[in-house]
Amino acid sequence: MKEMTPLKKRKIHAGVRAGIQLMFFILMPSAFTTAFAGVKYIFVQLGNREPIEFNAFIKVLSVLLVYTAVFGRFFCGYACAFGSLGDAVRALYMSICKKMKKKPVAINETMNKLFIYVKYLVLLMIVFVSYKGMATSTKGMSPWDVFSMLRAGNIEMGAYIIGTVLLVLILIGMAICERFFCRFLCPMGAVFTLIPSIPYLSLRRTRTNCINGCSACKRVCPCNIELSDVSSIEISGECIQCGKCRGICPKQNVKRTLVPQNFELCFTIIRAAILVAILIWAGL
Amino acid sequence: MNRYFIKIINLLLILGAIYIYNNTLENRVKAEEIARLSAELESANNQLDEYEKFFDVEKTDGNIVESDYVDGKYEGSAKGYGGDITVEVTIKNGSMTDLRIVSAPNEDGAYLKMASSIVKDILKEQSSSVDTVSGATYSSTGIRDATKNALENAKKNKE
Ligand code: SF4
Ligand code: SF4
Ligand code: SF4
Repeated sequence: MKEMTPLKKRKIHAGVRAGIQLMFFILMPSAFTTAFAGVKYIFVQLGNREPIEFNAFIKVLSVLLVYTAVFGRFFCGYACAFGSLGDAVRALYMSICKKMKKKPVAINETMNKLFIYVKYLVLLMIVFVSYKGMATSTKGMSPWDVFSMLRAGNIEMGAYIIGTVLLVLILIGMAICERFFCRFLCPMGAVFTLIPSIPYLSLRRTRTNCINGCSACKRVCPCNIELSDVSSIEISGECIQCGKCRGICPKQNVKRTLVPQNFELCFTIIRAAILVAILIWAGL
Repeated sequence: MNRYFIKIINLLLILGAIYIYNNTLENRVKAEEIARLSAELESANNQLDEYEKFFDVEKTDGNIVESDYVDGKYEGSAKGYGGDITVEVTIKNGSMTDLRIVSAPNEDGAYLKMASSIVKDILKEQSSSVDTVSGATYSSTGIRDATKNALENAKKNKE
């Protein structure tokens, strides 16, 4: 078989990713809210001094966390309906910028570094509200609820003002900055970030092989990650496994230790298939 | 220390904490259950003694309340999270004996499963005015309202 150009390879990967995202969006659009409902449930029960049962929410949550511990945040990069929605809005924005020959807005580095901690605050706030049993009084404030309802075709219930405004703001953010919500605000993302994942299945680079002064992988990364060196087993919890860094590297220097380079596409499809299987098993 | 290990240790600590928490609560619940059961046994024994004393006392059927409902099966529906939820209520001897979710095409799997736990509350209370399930508010509200609707249909003097 003829060797493909790197550009063509990148295009194929992007296409496969978009396809997988679309499939999950149609088949399992509620996975992320269900998993997060599990997190909230734990704290509601703690607040009520009641036992934490292994119910439908907890099942989905545990399945996703175990999966993340193995493959990293593949769920975020390929399967989360909200992340996919953000990617779609972003793609739209980029194509508009291109047509109007305008430069897309870029946000500043130091802000990036600080803002990634905001999601823990969001998580703490929601957890606190659940613990105190005030969850019902915040009904209609969650942008996720509004999104899910609109998606389920329940337009009537989309009339929650705070939630709707937040949703619109988030979508604007997602357009201007790739994965804005995931990086800075998502409470479920905060939980995922805290999960240790097997470094040998994630992407790392051989630092000594790098071209001097190159930072292509970091610039293309939606989460602005400095890839770890192969000597370190510490990989960034922010990585959503999108694989863009791997495609862009001019020296094919970004690799998974346990997965051969030309097996990447298969690996992606296998990961997606496993994810579908375990989510169906968990009752979605 | 490496962050990878710190994360693993944190995770184990959290899991351990949840396990201990659950165990403690379970023991407490069990202790309460035992106390309740022994109290019940006590009073049942007492009652038995009474019955034995008045051997020929006729047994009554407990408290028969005049019911508002006509026996039969009734359907009702209401808006859930993504659309209509339809339930079927079975009335037997004037009380609700069964509540079944007939259709809920637009609800999400896990949410509906969680929300379904409201069914046993409704049957226990024999009423549709029970608390909704937290975390699955919309779906459980749908089931509750659908039940209310079905009970309307089961009323004796509906014109
Ligand atoms: S960070 Fe949150 S919103 Fe983003 S993809 Fe992950 S779960 Fe979805
Ligand atoms: S570009 Fe690489 S490091 Fe960045 S999120 Fe994607 S896979 Fe992870
Ligand atoms: S793109 Fe490749 S060569 Fe450049 S910094 Fe990243 S890993 Fe190194």
